[in-house]
Amino acid sequence: MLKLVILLIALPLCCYGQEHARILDHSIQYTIYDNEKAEIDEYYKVIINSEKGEFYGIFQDYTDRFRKITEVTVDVYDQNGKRVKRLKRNDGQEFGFNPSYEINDSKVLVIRPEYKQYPYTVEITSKVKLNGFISFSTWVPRPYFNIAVNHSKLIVSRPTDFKIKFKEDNITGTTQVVDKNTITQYEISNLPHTNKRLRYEDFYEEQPKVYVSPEKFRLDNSIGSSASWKDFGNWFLSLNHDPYELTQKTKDFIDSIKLLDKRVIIERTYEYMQNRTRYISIQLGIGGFKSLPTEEVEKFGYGDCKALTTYMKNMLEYANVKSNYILAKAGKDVPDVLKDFPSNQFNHVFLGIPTSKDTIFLECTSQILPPNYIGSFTDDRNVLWIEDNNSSIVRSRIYNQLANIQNNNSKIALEDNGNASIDLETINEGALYDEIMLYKLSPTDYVKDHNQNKFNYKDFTIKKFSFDQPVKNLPAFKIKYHLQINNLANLVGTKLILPMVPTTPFQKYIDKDDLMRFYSIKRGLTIVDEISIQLPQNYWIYNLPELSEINSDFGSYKLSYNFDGSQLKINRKLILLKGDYTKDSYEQFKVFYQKIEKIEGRKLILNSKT
Amino acid sequence: MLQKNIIALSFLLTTFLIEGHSQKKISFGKVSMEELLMKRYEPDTTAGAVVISDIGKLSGIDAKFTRHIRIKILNKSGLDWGNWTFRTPTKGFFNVLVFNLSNGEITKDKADNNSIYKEEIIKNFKVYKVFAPNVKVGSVIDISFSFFGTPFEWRFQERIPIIYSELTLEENEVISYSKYFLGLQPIETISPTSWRAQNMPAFKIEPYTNNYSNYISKFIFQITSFSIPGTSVYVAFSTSWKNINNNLLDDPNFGGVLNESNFLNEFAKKLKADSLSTKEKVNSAVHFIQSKLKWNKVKSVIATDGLRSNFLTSHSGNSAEINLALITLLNKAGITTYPVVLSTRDNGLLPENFPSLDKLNYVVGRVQYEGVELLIDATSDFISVGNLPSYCLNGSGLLVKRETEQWVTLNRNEFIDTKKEFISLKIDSDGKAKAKVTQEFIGYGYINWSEEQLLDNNDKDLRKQKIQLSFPGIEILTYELNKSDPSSSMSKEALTVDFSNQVVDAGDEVIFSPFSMYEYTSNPFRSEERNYPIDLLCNKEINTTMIIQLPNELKVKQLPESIKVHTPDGNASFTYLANNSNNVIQFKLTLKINKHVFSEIEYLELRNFFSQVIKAVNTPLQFTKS
Repeated sequence: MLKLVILLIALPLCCYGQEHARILDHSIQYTIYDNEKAEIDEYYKVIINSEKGEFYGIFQDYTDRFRKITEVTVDVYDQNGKRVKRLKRNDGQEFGFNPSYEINDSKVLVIRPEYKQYPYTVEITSKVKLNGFISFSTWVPRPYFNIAVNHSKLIVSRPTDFKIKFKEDNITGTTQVVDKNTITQYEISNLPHTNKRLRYEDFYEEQPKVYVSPEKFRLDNSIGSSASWKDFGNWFLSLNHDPYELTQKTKDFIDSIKLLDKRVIIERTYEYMQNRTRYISIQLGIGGFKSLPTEEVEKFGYGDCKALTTYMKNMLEYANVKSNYILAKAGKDVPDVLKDFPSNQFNHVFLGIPTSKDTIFLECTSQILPPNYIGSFTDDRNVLWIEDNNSSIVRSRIYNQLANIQNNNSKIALEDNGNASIDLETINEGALYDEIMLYKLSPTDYVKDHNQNKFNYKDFTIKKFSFDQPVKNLPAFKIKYHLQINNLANLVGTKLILPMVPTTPFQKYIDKDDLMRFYSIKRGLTIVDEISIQLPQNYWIYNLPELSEINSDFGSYKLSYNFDGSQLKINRKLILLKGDYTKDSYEQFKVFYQKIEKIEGRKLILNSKT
Repeated sequence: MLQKNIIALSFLLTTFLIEGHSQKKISFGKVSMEELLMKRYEPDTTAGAVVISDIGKLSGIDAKFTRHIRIKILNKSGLDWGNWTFRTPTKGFFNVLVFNLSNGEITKDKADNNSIYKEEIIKNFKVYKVFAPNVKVGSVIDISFSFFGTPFEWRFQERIPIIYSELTLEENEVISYSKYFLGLQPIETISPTSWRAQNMPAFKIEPYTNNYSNYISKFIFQITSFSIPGTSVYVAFSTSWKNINNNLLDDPNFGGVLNESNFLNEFAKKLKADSLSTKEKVNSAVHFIQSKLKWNKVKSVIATDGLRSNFLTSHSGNSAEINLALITLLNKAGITTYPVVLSTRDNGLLPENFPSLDKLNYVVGRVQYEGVELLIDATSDFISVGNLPSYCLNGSGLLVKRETEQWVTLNRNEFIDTKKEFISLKIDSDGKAKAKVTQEFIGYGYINWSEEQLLDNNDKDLRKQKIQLSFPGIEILTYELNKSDPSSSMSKEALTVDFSNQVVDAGDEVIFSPFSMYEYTSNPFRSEERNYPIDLLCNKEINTTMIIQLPNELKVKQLPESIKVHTPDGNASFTYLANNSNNVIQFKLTLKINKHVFSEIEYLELRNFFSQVIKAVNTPLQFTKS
């Protein structure tokens, strides 16, 4: 939906230590003429202290139908203040780098100073002309860890009748605010570089920043408002409310199921759509917001998220099923939409259908997902429910530890030399169902690679692999493996030494970083392991472990053993509750983690009777 | 039963299709019912789509190239094969039809201009994007296009299987070109001007390979001359490596740099007059160039027009500017140095029998003195004289000398990734085990280590954490960097490590796993099959010495046997020596890999070799309690 422009140069990965660059002065001035025309004048002066800071001296911006870079000058000064270079647009490179499934008219302009005597100074002046806009970039004076800021300024000037809103975040005493009817100015001085070890998301959250959004805008002759979520929703609806005509074939199909149960109509229509279309991304002109007509989707059999969602919505409408657009910021782990700042913060749309007891969600860009499954792409976040005159922010579906369940059933046949064969059956439910997309859509070599990296065994071969979805419209799937493991147990003298839990260690389910001091459970999770080990003849277990059980605020852990003379049964249940465990809770989580680590770090010893 | 029949039927259909194609002519827009009914491709049932046929022809009359490709979509994972991107040397003309079965009837959709886009990726690099309409499971897609000239390449292999592929290049008076075959899957020659491949398997990516473009079966083309009919215009391009060398030496941004570059004179004069050994002079020249030109990460075989000002003011340059300046400086200082031009790993192997200027993307220097031959590159601070950056280790390079064709091996046997570790471990009577560990990274081991340190900003805490994450069974207590010396290509780290978790009380015995910090704790080769050679970049050597001091309370029950294993040709070998005296156990482990490319046939041997290594290093020791 939103124009997605891939900036080609990635931020440097490091995030700790020295000051790589210092912004001496940065000013962004918006001059808004009306709800369609505006200019952005930017002045930026930065000292680059080291090679790692080079990124901050590179000019990078994009152009498209609504946005033109009309002037840009990049001056480079050596450490004595002598100008050594003046670069213009022609000294840079313009890229339009899109994946094969995307049509996009935007291009990125990159101008690199190409100077390597540190420190040096880069001074950039640029002007961008907008001919249609819907939102403005967020002002974040200090963009990254290793950069310090002497002075940074945001100025927004507009006609008296032009309404614009601002939302401040972490703006404190060091900021000057000049607010009149026509000019708003924010200034900030002396932000040092950060010397803390932080995740980027935590760093960003701490930053002083100002969100800016026009209340009225005009894009490609379409006038809209983000004064409230209601207004924004109405605009989106008006943009995607063209009359349409379904093909006779589609009408015939819907007529044939029209009298069935509502849920069945939805499922069958969704399947109809999935079987006749494919997703491609179209980012031309206002295409970022306005859907391709339903007639064209039917004619070409493809569309982007808006086109396919609109098509689905129209078909449901024909079947007398009312559905609603839902705007979202999609992606696995993206910052949440600001609920109290109505503005365009979205890049995706899907469909919601209210029923008497719940809401059915349909992700229309997928040809394989079951109805009412959204997964990690759009789950658990603020989304805009679009309804005529009644649009509002709601929370999308949450998949928690009661929903996200993995059941692993391992049958291990252990030989007396320590080698083993394992029959493993895994059932993934809830958001763990996401994994099926990899199996269903990726080339076989990717699947193979994924499977081979799944296991922690030291020397093994996947002899067989298959997967299937037992119930068509239920998001749960089963994977089966037959594995051959070399030396699952180590033979020492007459003893066989086995890992305490000879499947996936618990660590694999927990995201942690001790340097940055966090544990992170993105989605609640329940992992259930049922392991049965057929011991080699004449072996018995020397140290049958007692039941281990841990309960904490973060989840629970239970590990039990049972030996009947030839078969060793191991049951493990790990429940992890969603959370970002930092600061104090980091220490508490660590206690929980280390307790489990201690339990699973032990060894099982099998003795030979002979 | 019914199910079985359907499978049998579809098998028959595919068999028919496979065999039928060599005789049957496929024409654009005429699809058969068999093609539409086809359910799967038996030789590879995982295929989401398959190319039924791909026919290309260069006309002898007007030098027009036409291509017709027919694709069958087999399941939903193949839907993306309705989107194609084509690059043509001249304006392309497209026709796209999609066929589907609807209630037993064949329906046809034609792509209009809304489905074919021209996109400029960077200046003068345009591609056509084709979005075939109404593509669903079962569709057959016909794409045909034509343009003037020869294509850049012809792929007989794709990421999906190709049932039939045929290329005909008729003799013509307009364009002459040379072509070169790459890849491991063979093709057939039907006539002097035509080639084909049948039932070409999908190309699958494997770990431990060089650039995939070396393995995919294809022709690459290069125009050697063309004339414009009806005019006297005739242009000829280089057709031999000798010519390419001459052209490079005549190019102002290559030969011009070597001949001029007066900005280097002053230092050259000084260097020449210095009473240093040749080796010291080379080192001094490298350091001088590094202080004047830092690499801007652009790989290039020629300098830019701005070399002089880059050198004097901005101090930023592409790889050719840096290395040509180095070569020029050495020559000016009286040390004969030749440029060696090459193709880096990310750019594919340089085909020695296919002279191609386009394929060259990098230049290094070669200097010979006192019987040694050194390859030099000044783009990186931590690559010492005589070593090349890893991405340069790619077959052979061409020595640039007028009227000469001489090749220089880039992957050299003396390029070794070496790790030496020394572990002194003490087990206490209470079962605690602590060790002092030093590890040295030498040669390419040092280069790889340095690259990682550079990325990690030389952050020692991060390094410690990374080591910890690689070895979850032990606890890294302290980490110290003792030495990092680019000139000797060596770094040394000292750690203290707690191994107590590896001490297991088994009643009357204690079990201990000493090699929980070994480089290979799991087999790097996980797959059972292999289609392409294994490329390890360079040779490898790991030397481990470990001394374990036992408390009086423990006695060695039985030491693991010393072993020596190797691959049949002896190029990968591992020795494990154990020895116990006075409750002090001493281990010496040596792992050596003496070649960097193993063929796919040797794969299982190599995998099995590692299996034995893994088994040995994971075998615990057994102590009795006294």
